[in-house]
Amino acid sequence: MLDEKTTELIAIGASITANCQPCLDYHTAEARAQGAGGGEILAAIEVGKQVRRGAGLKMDRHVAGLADGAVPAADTDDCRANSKESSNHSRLLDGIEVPVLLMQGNPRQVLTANRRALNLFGKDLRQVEGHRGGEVFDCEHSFSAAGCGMDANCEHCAIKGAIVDTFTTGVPHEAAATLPVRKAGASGYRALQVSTEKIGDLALVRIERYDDSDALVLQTRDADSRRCS
Amino acid sequence: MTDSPLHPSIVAMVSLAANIAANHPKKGLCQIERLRGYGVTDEQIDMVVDIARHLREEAGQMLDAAFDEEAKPVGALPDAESVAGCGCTPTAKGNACC
Repeated sequence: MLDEKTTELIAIGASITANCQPCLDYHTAEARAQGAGGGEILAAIEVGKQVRRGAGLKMDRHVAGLADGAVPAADTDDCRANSKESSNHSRLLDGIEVPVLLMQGNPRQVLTANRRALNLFGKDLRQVEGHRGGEVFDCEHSFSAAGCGMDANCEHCAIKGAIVDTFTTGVPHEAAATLPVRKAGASGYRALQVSTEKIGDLALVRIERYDDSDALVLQTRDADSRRCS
Repeated sequence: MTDSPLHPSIVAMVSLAANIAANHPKKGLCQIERLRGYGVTDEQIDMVVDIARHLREEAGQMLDAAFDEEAKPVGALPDAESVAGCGCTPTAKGNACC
């Protein structure tokens, strides 16, 4: 079962994409009555708005195809169809000779990755696009109750600090950390070293290192300790 | 840039519901793997889907009813149930969306 507050937040997101103003008013009031804070309600609204924009964009592209006389092919796999743009990014990133992730800032998640990164993490695009960085790294903390980036262990994570600061200030960073990883039921540690660079509204995260050698002796470093500039 | 105050699993559930209510359900498929990764049960995912479909359908009915009411006598009269509150009745599976 879902608790009442979560149910109302879900209904808020659905109300926005259903373009139902009275529904939104009702469920916003109910969410407040169930203890949801203003920030939580605004976050649910923002998710709904983003989905609505995506759906509108998709229809616009479909209409543009019809106007051009082309009959768009049916989407057999909409998850991938909606990531055509990011897949184009992925192909561009394939020209970079190290594993890289392209991240968006709000919500902070991986937009796409190049083939080298997919091979390194043993994932396909679907397991990477739209996921949080920690999830891509198989960081054990990413699946904690608080969630990726929100766990107490994330507070001083040099990797998170570097990425957040690059988005905030535009300053590139290098950072390293030892991550507890869990994959396919097996637990262990990985030494992760990244460099970050802001490109427009996005951030390019180069994976300089991701292995289990010396993972336990590599100490978490403060993001500012290796600031590039 | 700020972190969402919502747990990522709740963000994924809101996104799934929003995609369904936007008549864009296949895009919501992207969220299901994430939800399972967060330990959200299939029963809970079914509930999200059920609530979203229910809201989508009742929103249409309620807005039609409001339109018909304004457009009298052209449109049909709204039924009492669909104009009560936000028009939320229990879903077919018995889930209350409000």
